[in-house]
Amino acid sequence: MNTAVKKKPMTWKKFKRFIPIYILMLPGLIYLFINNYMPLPGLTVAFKQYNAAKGIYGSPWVGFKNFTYLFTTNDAFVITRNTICYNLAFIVVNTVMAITVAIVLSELTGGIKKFYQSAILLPNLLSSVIIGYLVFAFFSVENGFVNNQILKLFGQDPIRWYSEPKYWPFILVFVSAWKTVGYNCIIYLATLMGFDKSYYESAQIDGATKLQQIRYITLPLLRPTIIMLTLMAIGRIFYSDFGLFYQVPMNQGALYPTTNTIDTYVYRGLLQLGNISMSAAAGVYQSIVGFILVLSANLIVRRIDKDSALF
Amino acid sequence: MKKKHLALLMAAAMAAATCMGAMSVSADDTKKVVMSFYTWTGAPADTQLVQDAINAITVDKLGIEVELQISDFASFQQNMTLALSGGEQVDIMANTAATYANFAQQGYLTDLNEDDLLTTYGQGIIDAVGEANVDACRIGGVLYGLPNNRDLAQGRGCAAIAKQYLDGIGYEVPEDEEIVKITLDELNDIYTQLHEAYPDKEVYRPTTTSMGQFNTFDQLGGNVFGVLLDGGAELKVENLFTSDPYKEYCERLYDYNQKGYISQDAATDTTAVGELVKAGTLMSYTTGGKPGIKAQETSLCGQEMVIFQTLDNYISSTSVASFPWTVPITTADASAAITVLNEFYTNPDMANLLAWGIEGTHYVIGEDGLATYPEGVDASNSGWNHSMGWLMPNQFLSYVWEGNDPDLWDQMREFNTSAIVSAASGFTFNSANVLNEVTAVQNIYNEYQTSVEYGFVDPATGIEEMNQRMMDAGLQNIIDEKQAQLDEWAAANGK
Repeated sequence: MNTAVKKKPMTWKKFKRFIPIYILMLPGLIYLFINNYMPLPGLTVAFKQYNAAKGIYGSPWVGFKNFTYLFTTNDAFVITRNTICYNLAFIVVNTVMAITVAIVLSELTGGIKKFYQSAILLPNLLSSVIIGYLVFAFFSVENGFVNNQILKLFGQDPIRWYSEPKYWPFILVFVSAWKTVGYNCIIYLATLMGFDKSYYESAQIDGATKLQQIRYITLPLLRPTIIMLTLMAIGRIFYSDFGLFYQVPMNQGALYPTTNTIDTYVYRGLLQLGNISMSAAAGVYQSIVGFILVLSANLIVRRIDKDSALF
Repeated sequence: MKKKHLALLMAAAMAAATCMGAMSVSADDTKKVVMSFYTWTGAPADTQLVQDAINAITVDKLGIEVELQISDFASFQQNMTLALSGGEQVDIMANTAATYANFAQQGYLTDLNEDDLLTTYGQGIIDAVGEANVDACRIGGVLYGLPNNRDLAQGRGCAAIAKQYLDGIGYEVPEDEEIVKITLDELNDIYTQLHEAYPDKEVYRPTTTSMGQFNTFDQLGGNVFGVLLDGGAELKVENLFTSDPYKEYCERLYDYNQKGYISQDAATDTTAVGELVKAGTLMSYTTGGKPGIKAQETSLCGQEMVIFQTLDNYISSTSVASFPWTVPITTADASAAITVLNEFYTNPDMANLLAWGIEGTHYVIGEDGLATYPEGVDASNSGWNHSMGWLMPNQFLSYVWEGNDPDLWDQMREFNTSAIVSAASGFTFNSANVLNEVTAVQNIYNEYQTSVEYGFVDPATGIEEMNQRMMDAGLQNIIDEKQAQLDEWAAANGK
């Protein structure tokens, strides 16, 4: 298709030709409209003192008053920092792990490969409540595996895991990797399987080692996939895996400094403190900062490699 | 052309959305009243049977069908917030002091004086609880809830200990006293012996309400941010977290923790204390004293419990309005809701169904006129055994359970009139002006409460750190606001 045709205004004839495509698009558009656009007027709740009897539109305006509680404490800073830092750590760790596992799996053949693949994928299918209790089985202070077996073996004192925030960044990153690597590696594995085998054959003839093959053939070929998946992850950088941050630390107050993210904060605000306006204020804050982050991430990518940018 | 199609698309989307909205509205001719309350463990097994028995009375007499919606205490507030903000039908709702203030503040509750609702349909309620107690539930002059008849005073500083372990250490339990008065040192001494005799069992398990039950400060407005110390002897609002009673309490719990009385998983494990005693892993916990408490806790734990008390009986300012029954604005028919409530406050059959279940199935009346389990039924297998009689609208109408004095309800009235009363009794706090501060401070309290009050951190550093952060978040503003409202109330009521 040349550019001259593209610039022509859409004619009815042309539109008619695309009708089946538009119909295919319809369910997605309707979903998007109902789910993402219809609730938009609800954003005004954040600027009102919500009164259930008067409803969203009848409640009085209060300006930015609902936002002040976020900033009188350092809550806003803590939840923003946690959300972004965890997601950055997840992007790096999970990508590296997924690629490594995918390369190792691609070298295996037969039944053992199927077995490993299923075993690695399994945690991804577990509910986060169950994962929370699995983690608890390890880190329970009195009966946990870590305190009773591992630390004892090294003659260390038991640690009160659920009241020491400093350990949780490591635990959560580990749990997240354990949970998501299986799924991510499938995508990389599928890409890997599609590579032309003749590259590797000629490299072998030239005497390249396995490591050199990975370094000079596999990784460069994987680059577009890596960039795409990473960009998609950056687009969600301001959203946290709710189950991971709420269920896995068992909603422990003492762990808030390192486990409270925007999503858990809004959830607690709404359901425990029962204040819709203030929760909405935190939600608006999440949207705006998230929007800015995605735009700037895209801008940086565009500077480096224009073709890889999302928009 | 393109626009037209886009418009069509939009219209289709709107239509789809409207359909979904319309689906949730059901057209039913019979009047139905949804009644929500909580038990410690959620809906008992025979909820449907009891509901049918209630309907056997209300459908004929009032033409109203009642649906019971029972949550466990821990998730009650969340469930109700979700239901009310989602516009689900709830006609009658139980509360705690905290949910009552919260829901009223956010406009979820019906004004019961509006259109003379209460005087028209609920005269029996006013007669049952008394005009003065009804007025004590007003928030800023508006009546959103109705008090229930129960123990208004609370015996503070009470510990329930399973008798089998007391026998094990050779402690002689006085036979004729329902509540054994001892000093705190004596209680600590018992704990020491229990720990020596049963080193594998947890001696004591704190809960989030233990701290309030083991002190005599007055929680103004249902939160601990600004309290009256010494049982509200003076109308002077002070910061609990810098007070001596709080420090002493946390030091005692820290000491328990150091000695290994408390499970290291206490903060993470949310199992109810009664269940832990039943399971045989826990020996003691904190409760609120009152006539009948021994039988109540014995039934809850499935074994004989002994109640010890170290502090006085006390009526706080929020006591009367601690568990009000309310009519949320999502009610289908407020007059029907009040009519049903009126029946629960005045009809002994209805009160007994709520409190004890169905006669012959869940309880029988013995020759002494007391209720007890039928043959083959006990606390562990009864389908309606919730020990929540104190939450029900009018406990004084129901039968007295075996193990109690037959004139328990008279004792209860006596207990209510003889206790120490807070000078601020009848005062309700309106948090509207300091909502931001309360939210911020509550978040900090959530973060520290289990560490500091369960004794997992040294109070010498923990309390100071928590207090400093609360002060930065505006704790002083809440205290000042409470003082200002209290002064205004005192002036208006001639205190």
